Amino acid sequence: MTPGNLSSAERLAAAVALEETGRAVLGHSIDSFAARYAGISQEAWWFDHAAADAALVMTFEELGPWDTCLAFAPGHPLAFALTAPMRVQLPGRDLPPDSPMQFDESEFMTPDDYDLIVEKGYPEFLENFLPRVGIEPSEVPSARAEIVRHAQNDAAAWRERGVHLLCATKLRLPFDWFSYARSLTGFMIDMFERPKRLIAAMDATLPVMLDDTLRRLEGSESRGVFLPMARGSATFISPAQFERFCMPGLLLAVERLVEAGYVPILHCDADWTPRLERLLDLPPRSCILQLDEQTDIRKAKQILGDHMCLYGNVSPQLLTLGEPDEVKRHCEGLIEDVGAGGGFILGPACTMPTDAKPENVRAMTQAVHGKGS
Amino acid sequence: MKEQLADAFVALDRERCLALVRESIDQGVPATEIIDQSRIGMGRIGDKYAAGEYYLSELVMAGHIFGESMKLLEPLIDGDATSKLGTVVVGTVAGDIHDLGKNIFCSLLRAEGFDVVDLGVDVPPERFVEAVTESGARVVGLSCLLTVAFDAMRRTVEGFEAAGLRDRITILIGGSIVSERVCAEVGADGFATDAVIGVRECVRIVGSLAEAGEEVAS
Repeated sequence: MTPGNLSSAERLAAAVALEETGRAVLGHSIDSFAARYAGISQEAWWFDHAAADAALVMTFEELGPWDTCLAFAPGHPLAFALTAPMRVQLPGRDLPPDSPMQFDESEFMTPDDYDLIVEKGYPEFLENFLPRVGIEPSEVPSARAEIVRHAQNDAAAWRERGVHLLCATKLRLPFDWFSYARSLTGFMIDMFERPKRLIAAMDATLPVMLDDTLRRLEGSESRGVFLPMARGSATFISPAQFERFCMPGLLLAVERLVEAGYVPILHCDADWTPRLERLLDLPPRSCILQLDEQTDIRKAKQILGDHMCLYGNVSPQLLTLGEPDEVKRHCEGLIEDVGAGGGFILGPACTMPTDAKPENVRAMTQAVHGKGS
Repeated sequence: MKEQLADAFVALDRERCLALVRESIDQGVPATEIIDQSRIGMGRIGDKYAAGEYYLSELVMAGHIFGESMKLLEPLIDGDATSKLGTVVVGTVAGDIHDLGKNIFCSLLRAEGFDVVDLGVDVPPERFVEAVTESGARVVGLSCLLTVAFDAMRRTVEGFEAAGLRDRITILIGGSIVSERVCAEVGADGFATDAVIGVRECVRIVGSLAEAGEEVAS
């Protein structure tokens, strides 16, 4: 098959393997924007799966096509909360009906919890932790089942439209998990004042999280595993802290996922520019590095272009305040520079802003498919 | 003690900082002097951050040590006895509940010597206007992390205009997603993508006001 005739799944696989993809790959994370564009409330996006899916279809048909999506419509109101150790604030329930989802990152975990994890194990701690962020442990299994059911149905329907689901599940590594659960400030102080207790807890947690993630991946069609990892960036911690607290767990998790045949999607928000060379230690041609506008993606191409697929990084300011011509030119520049030789997925930085201009979303599509501005 | 305390701050040695503060108190050193020395240390930490030698985690740790020191010193000082640079009203604008960046900014402003009126998160325009009217602040910091909050920033600036306060104040916007373009779009006077830049901008603004003979402290 020539690169020009690839299916979306094949095109993605070629991008990850750093092979020619025929044309640029377009990947979106378009959730709350789709709701706003289709005229449904953010509350409906989270609580009415059929309405949310219809909104996504309408957005795709009018502003697409794209090859892949990080996730489809949420399968359950807990879809985000189950992997976020924060109190998730949902529209209509905790926020005004048309506000985007947000989270309260208070200190829901104490330093004593590190010791609890080491002594009793992460699962027992988690049972104890979930109610602190408003989740009843007993509702988790049914929520997970519903999320999986919707994901499977949605993946089949979207395959018919030529769209491949990029991410099968999410794994928030202990470093990031604790940094949110302890709150950023508390966690940073822990790195200085109780490093050994923190590291012991991370070491005890990671194998359990990995086993659980691999179990959830069984039978999944998508091979992507989403790793949100902003807090290891140069925006937050020093190189020495990165080596001591973040890199060991990242290396271990990525190697295990890759060995098992999965594709880690390193969702690296904030500034990773000074850390890019460290990612050369990860297995080659196996990961997707998703960057927001704070990392120099052209620098990433220089350093990692022969090592991993890059994904990103059209800025939220440009998508909300820019003009379509400007967006299209910007995307064409990325395709030319970062997409040269393959290994690139064009997409928004982090996620599509709720209030991006629809004509700017269309301009991204046009940059990929070569239609006029 | 003087240099030792500043050095202990720069080394982020909490135990030593607190021991030196206690020792100085016992020796009868005025609390205001001890605070000034702590601020010298904090200033050097800010310089290291600006030079890329220190990271946010080090700023946060320094703010934590400064806060612990102040707990020992505050009972010894009259609220008005320390030199204040002026008042800054700070808040995350309506519709946005993110507060990490704002909190770090507030903590560094206090360490610098500003009085801070922290309005919290999801703050409507009228609350900002009220706080400026009550405090007499000449600088306002609007924080956000969401693009949907750009509109709330614009409405807040308009709120100050409608209240006749716009010419009296300098409005800074802050957050990782703000830029010159966003600043122009919402009608603010300046922007900062990190807390240290924001604090330095506040120092510059009150310095200019003082030079022009205008009142900066409430």
